[in-house]
Amino acid sequence: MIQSLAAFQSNLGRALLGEDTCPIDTQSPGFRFTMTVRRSWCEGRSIMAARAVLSFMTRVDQQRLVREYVDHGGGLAWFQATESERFLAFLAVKLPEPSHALTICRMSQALAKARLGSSTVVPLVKQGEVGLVERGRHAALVWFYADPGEVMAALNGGQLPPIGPPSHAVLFAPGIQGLFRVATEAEAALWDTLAVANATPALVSALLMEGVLAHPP
Amino acid sequence: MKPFDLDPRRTAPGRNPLGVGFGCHLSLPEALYTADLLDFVEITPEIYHRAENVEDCIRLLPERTLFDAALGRCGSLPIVMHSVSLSIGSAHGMYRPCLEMMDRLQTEWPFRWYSEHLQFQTTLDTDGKSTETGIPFPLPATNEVAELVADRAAFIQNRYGVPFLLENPAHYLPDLPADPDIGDEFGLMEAILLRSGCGQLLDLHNLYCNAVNFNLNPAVALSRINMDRVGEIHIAGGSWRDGFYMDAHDGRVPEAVWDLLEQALSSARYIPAVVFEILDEYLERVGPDAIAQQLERARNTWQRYRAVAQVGA
Repeated sequence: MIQSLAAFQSNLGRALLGEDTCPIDTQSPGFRFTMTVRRSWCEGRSIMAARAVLSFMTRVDQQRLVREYVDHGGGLAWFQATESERFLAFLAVKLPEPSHALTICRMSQALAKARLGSSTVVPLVKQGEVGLVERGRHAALVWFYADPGEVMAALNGGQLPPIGPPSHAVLFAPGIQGLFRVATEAEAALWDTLAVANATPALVSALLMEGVLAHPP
Repeated sequence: MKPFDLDPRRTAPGRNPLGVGFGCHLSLPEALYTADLLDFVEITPEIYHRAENVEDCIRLLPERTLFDAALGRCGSLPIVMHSVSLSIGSAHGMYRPCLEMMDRLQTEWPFRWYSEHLQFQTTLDTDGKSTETGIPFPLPATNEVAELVADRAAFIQNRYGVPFLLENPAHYLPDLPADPDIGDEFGLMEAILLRSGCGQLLDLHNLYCNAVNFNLNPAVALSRINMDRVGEIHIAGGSWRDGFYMDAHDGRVPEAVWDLLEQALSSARYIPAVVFEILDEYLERVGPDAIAQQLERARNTWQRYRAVAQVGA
C-alpha cells in the first residue's frame, strides 16, 4: 500500500529531524549521499549568511559554531536574509563579550533591522512638543571596542586592532543617510537611559526624524 | 489530453524564436549581456528578493539595489522566469509568497514564460507548521501526485497567461514509491504534462546525472521524453563526489551532455530555448571567456537544428 503524499512528506520531514519514520531506505547509498548534500547545503547557507562575523574567528571556531548551528536545525532557509537573521541570533549568544566578532554580529543585526525599516517605516514626528518617546523598533546602537574604521578595515584583510574599552558608539536607524553613523556622547547617553527629560528637545527631534527614537504606539 | 504548443509560428504571432539564454550574473562583464551573444536572459527571481515578516505575513520583497541592477543589466533582452521556491509538490500547499512575487513581477518585469522544478522542499511538522527540508526532494510517481501537481500547474499557467514549464530534477534517491500505471519519474512528468497542458523544461544535465547514478543509458533515458512538450532545455556542468555524479553547476558542459543536446534538438519538432546554467560561486574559476564559448557552442547547435526545422516545416 503506497502512502499518501501527505504521509510520505510528513514522515520524511520527521525523519530529517531525527525520528525513525523515513519512508525511504536510510541505509541506501543514495539516501546517505542525499543527507551529505543536505548537510553541505545547510553549512554553506550558514557560512554565506554570516560571512563577515565568521571572518573574525579562527577556522576551528568557525567550523564549531556552524556545525553546532546546523546540528540544531539551522541552515534550512532558502532566503539569505532569513538565514542571516536566524544564524546571527544564534551567534549573538555564543560569541564572547567583549569581542570584535560580537560587535560585527550586532552590527549586522542592526543593519538588517534598519534596512527592513527603511522599506516599511516612515519616521513620524509629532508637531510641537516632543512628547513621550522610546527606542525605534528598527533602530540600534552598537558599541565598538576599537576605532570602527580599523575594525571594518580588518574585514578587508587589515590588522585587527586590540580590544579596548567600549569607546565608539554607532547608531543604526532607517532614517539615517546610509542607515548608520557615529553617535555623539549625548545621543549614546540618551539611548542608554532614555532620560529624555535631561535631553534637549532639538536632540530628541533630530533622532525622531532619523527613526532612532519613536513615539510609542 | 490538453494541448501544449510553444511554437511562436502558431501560438504567438509576431514573436521571434528565442534561442540561447543565460542567467543574470551581475559579477560578469556587461558585454556578455548583448544580443550578439545572448537571445534572452533567464531570471531566478529569488536572488533579487528577501523574505520579510510584514505584519505576521511572509512577503518576498525586492532587494532594491540588486533588483534594479539586474533590470538595468538585462532589461533590453527578452526575459523568462525560473523560480526555485514554489515547492509545487508539497501536499499542504505551494509556497504562497512565491506566487505573490510572481504576481508583482508580471507587471514589473514581464516574462515570456515561467518555469519551476518538479519537487518539494517544505513539509508540515507535527504542529501543522510548514518547515523547510533543507534540500529539494523528488516526488513519488503516483496518480495522487500527478493530479495534484497538474491542477496546480494548470492554475499557474492560467494565472499568468504564459506557458508554464516543469523541470525534471536531479536526485539520488532509489526506489521512490510509484503506482504501476505511472511507473517512474518519466511517467510522472508525462502524466502531469498531459493532464495540465503545461510544458517541460528538459534539464539535460539532470537527466544525465540520474542516468549515470541509476545505471541507465542517457540516450535511452532521453528517448523517454515527449519532445513535443519541451519548451526549454537546460545544459550545465557537474562533478563527482563520493561515487555520485552531482548536478553541481560548477563548470563547462560535459561532452556527453552536448551529445544529448544534439539528440534532443534533432528529434524535436521545435525547441524555443537552450539555457546554460552555472552557479555564481564558480564564475571566477570558469571565467568569462569559457562561459562565452559555452554560449556560442549552444547557439551554433540550436541554430543548426532550427534551420533544419524551418526547411522541414
